[in-house]
Parts: sequence; structure tokens; C-alpha cells
Amino acid sequence: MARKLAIDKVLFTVVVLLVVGGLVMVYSANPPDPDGGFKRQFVTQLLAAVVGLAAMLVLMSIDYRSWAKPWLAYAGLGASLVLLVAVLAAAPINGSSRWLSVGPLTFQPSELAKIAVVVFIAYQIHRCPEGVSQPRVLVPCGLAVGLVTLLVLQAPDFGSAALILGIAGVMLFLAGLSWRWIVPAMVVLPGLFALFIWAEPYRRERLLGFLSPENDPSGNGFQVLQSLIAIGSGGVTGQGLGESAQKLYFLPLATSDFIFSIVSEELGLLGAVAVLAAFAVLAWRGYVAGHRAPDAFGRFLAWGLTSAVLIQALVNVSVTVGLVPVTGTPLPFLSHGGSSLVMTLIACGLLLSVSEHG
Amino acid sequence: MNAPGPRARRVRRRYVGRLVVFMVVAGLWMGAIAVRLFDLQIRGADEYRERAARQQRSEVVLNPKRGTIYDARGRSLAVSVETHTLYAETAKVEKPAVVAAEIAPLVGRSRERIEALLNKPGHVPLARKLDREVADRIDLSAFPGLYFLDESKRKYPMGSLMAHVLGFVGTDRSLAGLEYRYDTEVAGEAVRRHVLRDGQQRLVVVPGSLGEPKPGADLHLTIDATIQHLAERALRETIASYDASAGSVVILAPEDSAVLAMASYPTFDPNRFGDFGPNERRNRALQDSYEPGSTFKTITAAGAFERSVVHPDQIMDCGNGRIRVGKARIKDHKPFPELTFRTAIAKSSNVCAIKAGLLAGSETMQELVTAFGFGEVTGIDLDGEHPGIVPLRVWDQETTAYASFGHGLAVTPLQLANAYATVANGGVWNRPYLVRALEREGEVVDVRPRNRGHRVISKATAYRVIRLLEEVVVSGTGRKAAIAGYRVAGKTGTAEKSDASGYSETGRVAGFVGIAPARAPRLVCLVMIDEPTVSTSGGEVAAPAFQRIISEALFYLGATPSRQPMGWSQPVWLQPAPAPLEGPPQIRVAAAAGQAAADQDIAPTEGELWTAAGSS
Repeated sequence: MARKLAIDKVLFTVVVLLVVGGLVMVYSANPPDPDGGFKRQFVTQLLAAVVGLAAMLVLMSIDYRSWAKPWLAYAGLGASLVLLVAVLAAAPINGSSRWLSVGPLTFQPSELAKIAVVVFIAYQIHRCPEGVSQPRVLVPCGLAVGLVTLLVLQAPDFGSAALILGIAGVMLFLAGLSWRWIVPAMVVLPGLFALFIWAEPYRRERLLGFLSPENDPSGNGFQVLQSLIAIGSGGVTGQGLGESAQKLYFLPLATSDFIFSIVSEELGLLGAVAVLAAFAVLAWRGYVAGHRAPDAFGRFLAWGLTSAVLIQALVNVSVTVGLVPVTGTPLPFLSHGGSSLVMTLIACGLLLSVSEHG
Repeated sequence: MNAPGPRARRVRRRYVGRLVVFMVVAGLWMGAIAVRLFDLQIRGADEYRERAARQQRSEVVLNPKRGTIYDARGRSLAVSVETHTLYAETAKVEKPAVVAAEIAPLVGRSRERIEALLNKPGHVPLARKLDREVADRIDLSAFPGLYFLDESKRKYPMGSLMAHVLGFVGTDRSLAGLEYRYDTEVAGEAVRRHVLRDGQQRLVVVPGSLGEPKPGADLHLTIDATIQHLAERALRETIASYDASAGSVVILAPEDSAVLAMASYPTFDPNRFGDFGPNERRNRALQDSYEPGSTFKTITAAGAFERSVVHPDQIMDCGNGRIRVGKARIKDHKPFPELTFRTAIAKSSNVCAIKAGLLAGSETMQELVTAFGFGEVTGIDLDGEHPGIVPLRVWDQETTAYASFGHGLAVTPLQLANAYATVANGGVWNRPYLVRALEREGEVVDVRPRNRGHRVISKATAYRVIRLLEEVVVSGTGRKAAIAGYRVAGKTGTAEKSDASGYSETGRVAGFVGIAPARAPRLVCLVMIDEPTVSTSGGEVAAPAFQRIISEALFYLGATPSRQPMGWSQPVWLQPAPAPLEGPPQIRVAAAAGQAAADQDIAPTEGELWTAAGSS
């Protein structure tokens, strides 16, 4: 058994800073309630942060190896699949069935599915120390990822599906997947993606809107253009915390998908770079924790979860600065969204557990 | 850590290789983001800040209330009333076609126009300045996205009364008359507020929302609406009964040329000025000039008296209606025998006027005509004034001869009325004016012309001219201007209208200018009727109109009837005055000594008369 190491204080600090910073930014970006009530989004975010941090503290004190059980890997996956099916039956919100309502709480099963997929793949890699480039590993992984992705696509939640696919790919790549698999996958998957995007008019318009936002500032290019205006008008030092004008209904989803734009507008280049640096430090500590892990499960659990957070962050920021078409991916820690925050903090709890018990 | 075996170490090395590849990719990605942020926030900061400002900031103009225009007795002539402008927040309007079809008839605009407006983005005014009754007919709850904003609109409660003087205000700016001339004062100051708008074009913040719009100043006019009404009514009826094309009336207070009435016909209603053309909107009292004709003989007489070359009772040969001046042969309107100068003017003999003018001399006449303000705008507080036409070169005998009976030059009705006011007040020319005071938030500021006018003729001359003009009304061409109980002085005029091809055969301008009461002048009134048809003479057409207006106006003003209507009474300005008198020394003696002495002293001696007459 590995000895118990000290908790990774840097990782823990970065996580707490991101959570606190996220709360501040959600508070700031939350537009005044038209009904005159208190900032509702901030309150739900605060509750999610409390729940998430508690879950993180519990998980980091439990040895991650107790999760390396086949029943757990399958149970997590199974639960995700059931919830993903259930969410399709639920009433759609904003035209998509991403949320499951239980009383006053809403829950996004795709967030759980991300972690479940990471745990499942980490378990599969752990199960076969001989390597991943064999059907014993690839078939269950492919089935699990394929099923989850298809269900998430039904929501429809193209961003989350692509993200789950990407995380799975990155994990298998890091696990040493043979180039014989990688090369064909890199040919086939982008082709499938292109087809998939082109088949659905709203995705096609989003893509075209991304390519030329100026042509249609009030339509599909609107979000990106407003985001660019927000970021650009921030300058080096920003307009000052709480001083964003773009959050006043110019920038849709200012508290969720485009919170990075508000950070950049209010805190400028300095704030934007600080957020990126925090994710870089988190990634650095996450990969180090995985590298130090004594077993394959711990390593790939850590790497998978770190990659999940990092890729989400990079995709989200890329959307806000106009490098990538709008996908609907939240920025971990900062974007408003209870499920996302709680699940990110659960991931961090697992990550800290790996770093602690390495 | 477990001691890993060689295979495990190899596997881990491979992992590390893959991890490095992945981290390099992620690092490059993050680098790309950093470059992009640099591009946006440092290189593009100014441009994006400007774009942000353009969409977030906007200006809201708060319009002030326009000042009220009052007549001399505080009656409202032009007021601003609250009206309602219908706006649409087009994003919230469902089915623009249906809304347009329902709204268009209510606001009186075309359905296509409303629908086109509803299809524009943002907040669009659908119909400006609707009255309360119209606005009340629109049930806003039935049309989501529509709302009203208050705006003030100009109303002229007295309709067309003194329309030419007041002018009018368009939807957003003043366009004519006093409204235009005093726009800076009356309009007030609008306040431009910078506000932030949100993405749905709602106003969010009003930073520094200080300053209310400054309301416009009220104007207090010299015009009395009652006198104006008398003038307009007589003008309208005279034009109707003589089937004339146009006309104007000017009434001045002689002491300082304050305008008491100024009417022009055809006229218009400033409440719907758009329905009228330039012909109706033209203020003929000062925008048009006419050949004055015989009314100008007053100036000639003033010149002759000023130079003491003619005595009122001097017998003059009216040449049986013919005179030769240089190469010009001038015919009178009818032949007269020898007459006294007084009678000749009363009967309006051209020959006699020419002789008097030539006796006074070309130089004197030219100087005097200029000094009376002809050939130059009076400077009244209205725009578009015509300067009239006075020959600029040094006058020769012919020019003087023609000018002596009002030919060969053109004057505006206002100029001519003001020349008579100059005579009526004892010889001082004053700048006519319409606005006597501005009232700003209860504080009244006197804006009457500050500098006193300039003396044109001596008081003695002025007095003699008035006595001369009395005879016109008593026994001459102006008998129809006589008013029971008052002495009236005045002069008729019938001028031929000239156009590019010369004098017209039929077109006449009938005029009468009078002073009442003659010995204590309170009103100077000009009546000018353009192209009367049934009769064309000033005495037949204009004098009765003068009589109607002034008899009623004197009654309205409560003017003291003249003590000796047909005899002699001393004009007020010849009564002992506290201020030192400016006239020649003998007038001062006259003022002190009384009427007989005055008559004696200012009359030229017989010798002088004959010398002057003989020299011509």
C-alpha cells in the first residue's frame, strides 16, 4: 500500500481560489433581477459551492483506490445512462432536455456522465496492464462512450457529447493507444463531425456565424460579437469589478457560458490571464498527481479528470475569444450552473485524493 | 511508492511521452488564446471600447417647454400644450401588419408607412405630437410594444390673428415670424442626458442626471389683440368689398413706434401652416415694397417746411395740371387752378407737390427721405424686411420731382407708417418694435430698443405738417377718414403699380396714412389696399377702412376726444415739457408763449417766401 502523502496544498488553494473567484464573478455578472429580487443565480451558485466543497472534502479524505471496483465503474456508468434516458423524457428547457428537475433542484446528467466515463475508462485501463490497444479495453470503452455520447446528443447537447468523446480520446491517447487506432480515428471522427454539423441547420448557422460574425451581428454572430466587444473593451486593467456594461442583456448567458468575457471586461487582460494561469496551475498539479500515482487507476483517474477540466476551460475560453464556434460549454468553477460546479468539485475531490494517496 | 519493474518503467516512460505531447498541444492552445486576448484587449481595445460605447450609450433629449407669447394686455397668443408621441418598441410588436392596420386610421397616417416603421429595429416614433383626444383613442394594452412620450406642441388660440407676426413652429423647429426671431429665448434649453442602454434598448443608468430642461422665456408684445382684430376685420372686409388682391394695415404708437397692430392679407392659420402657401404667409407690411404715391407728399411738405421755402397759406400755381421738369412733362390727375399750398395738398395736386419739393431742393429731399428711414430696413424685430427702393445716386431735378409725389421709389408699409409716426411724435424717428419684454421664470426683462431715435425734422415742421394733413381730412381727399369727436390728420395715396415693363394701366395701390387724434397723437395707422377694382383711389378705398379701425380703436383705448375738433388745440408735444427741448430756439419761445406766438414765430416771413419761390 502506498503511504499517505500530504495533501497537495497548491492544488487545493487553486481550487478554492477558483471557486471563490467564480462566486464573485457570478455575483457581478448576474444582472439585476427585473422583479427586484435578490440575485437568484448567485444564491444558487453559492449553495452549489457549499455542497460541492463539502463533497470535495469528503472525497479527498477517502482513498481513491476504494473506488477502483468493477461494480462502481459500471454502476456509475449505468446510473448516468439511466439519468440521460430519464432527462430525455423530461420537459425540455430552452428547447433542449439537458436538465432534470427534482423539486426545486435541477440537475444536468451529462455532468455526471463526464465523471462516470472518466472513472469507467480509468478502471478499464487499470484492468489491463498489458496496454489499451486491444479489444478487451477498447470494446467496453467504445461501447460506454458511444452510448453516453449518443444519449447526450439526443438532448441535444452537442458540446457535452464532443467533450466526452474528446476526454475519452485523450485518456486512451495518454494510456498509449497504438497509432494504428489513432490515425484512422483522426480521419474518421472529424469527417463524422462535419457531417453531423452540416445535417442540422442550427449547427450549420452557428458555424457560419462563427466564421463571419460581422455579417450578422444580430443573429448567430451576435453572441460572439458581443463577447468580443466585452473582452476588447476591457483593455489591460478592465472597467473595474462590477462595472461591466455588456452584462446588461447585451451578452447572452453572461453568467454562464460567457462569464469569461465579463471577467475580461471587468478585470481586463490581467484578470483574463490570471484565470488562464489558475487553470494552468490546476492542470500542472493534476498531471503531476497522476504521474506520481502508484497505480494505473489513480494515474488515469487523475489525468482524465484534469483533462476534462482543462479541455472544458480551453474550449469555453476559445469560444469567448472567437477561436472556436459556439458550443455551449461552461467554464469550470466560474460559470453559473450548480451541476457543473458540484461535479467539478467532486472531480477535484478525487484528484486531491489521488495526490494525497499517491 | 512501489519499486516498479522494468516493464512498468517502460510503460510509464511511454505514458510520459504521450503526456508531454498532450501538454505541448494544450500549451499551444493556451498560447493561442493568450495571443488572441492580447490582440483583443491591447491592440483592439480602443476600437472595441468605441463599439461598446456606441451600442451602450445613448442620448436622450429632454425638450423644454416653449415660452408663451402674450399681447400687450396679457392675452395668450401662442401657447405650448402637452401632446403625445406614439412610439413603438418594434421588437415587442407582434404582427406589425395588423397593428399598422388598426393604428393608422387613428393617427391619420397611411397603413403602409406605419407598417414600414414597425419593421425597423429599435424604438421608432410612429406618430408625432398627437392631441390628448387622439391619444386617448389608442388603447395601449391592446398593442404590446407601443407607448407614449410627452412632447409639447405649439397652439395659437386666436387662430389666424396676427399670424404673420407670430409665425409658426414646425415639428421640431421654429420657422417664421417672432417664433423664429426670438427662438433662442422662447425655445428654452434642452438637456441632453447621456444614458446607458441595455441589450434590449431599455434605459438603465442615468449617470449625472443633473439639470432639468430650461423652459423658454415668455414674450410680451406691444400688439394689442383687440386693435389687431379691428385692423384685420376692416382689412378683410375692405378687400372683399373692393375685390382687391391683398393689403396690409400697420398701427404704431407714435411716441416710440411700438407696433400696436400689423395685419397682412391674405392670411393663414399658424395652427395648420402647412395648408398655406408663400402668398398667404407673406407679411406684406414689411416684406413687400410699393410706390407710395401721394402719401409721400407728407415727406415733401416736411422738406419744404423744414427749409422754410413754402408757407401753408402761400398761393401756388398748380399749372393747370401740367409741369415740365427738365425733359420730363408731368401731368396731374386733374387740372387745378391757383391754390394755397394747404388746399393743394388737401386736393393732392402733384404739380404743387413737385414745386414744393423743388423749392426744398434735391439735396434736402434726398437727405430727408433717407433720414425718414426709406431705402433701409427699419430694424424691427422680424426677419425678411424689404429695404424699399430709393435712388442712390445724387438726385437730379427730375428724380426730386417724381419723388415729391411718391413716384420713382418704393417703400414698405411699415417704413411709411413709421415716417408718419416720426411726424406725429414731433420729428424723432424711432425703430419700430414688437416685443417689449421677456419674462423668464417670473423675472421680466425690458427689451425695448434702448437708444432713443434720431431727430429728422424740427418740432415746428412736424406740427405744421400735421396741421396741413388735418386739412386733407377736413376738406380734401381724405374726408372719409374723418372721425366724429376727434381731429384726424392724414394723407391719401393712389399709386400705379409698376412691374418690369413699366407702370401698369389698371393695377393701383390705394393707401391712407393717418394720425389720430391729430393734436395729441395716440395712433398712427396705415391702410394699404393692393389692386382694388371697384374704386381705386386711396380716399375712397383706404380712408374708410382707416376711419373704421381708428374710431373703434380710440373708443377702445378711451382716448380723450379733441377739445376743438375742427379748430385748434395744442399738440401734447408742444406743451411745456420738463426735459430741455431740442428744437430751434424759436420753438422754445413758442412752447412758452402759446399757440398764437408759435404760429407767428415759426411761420416764415413773406419776404423769405418770395425769395425762395422766386429762386426756383
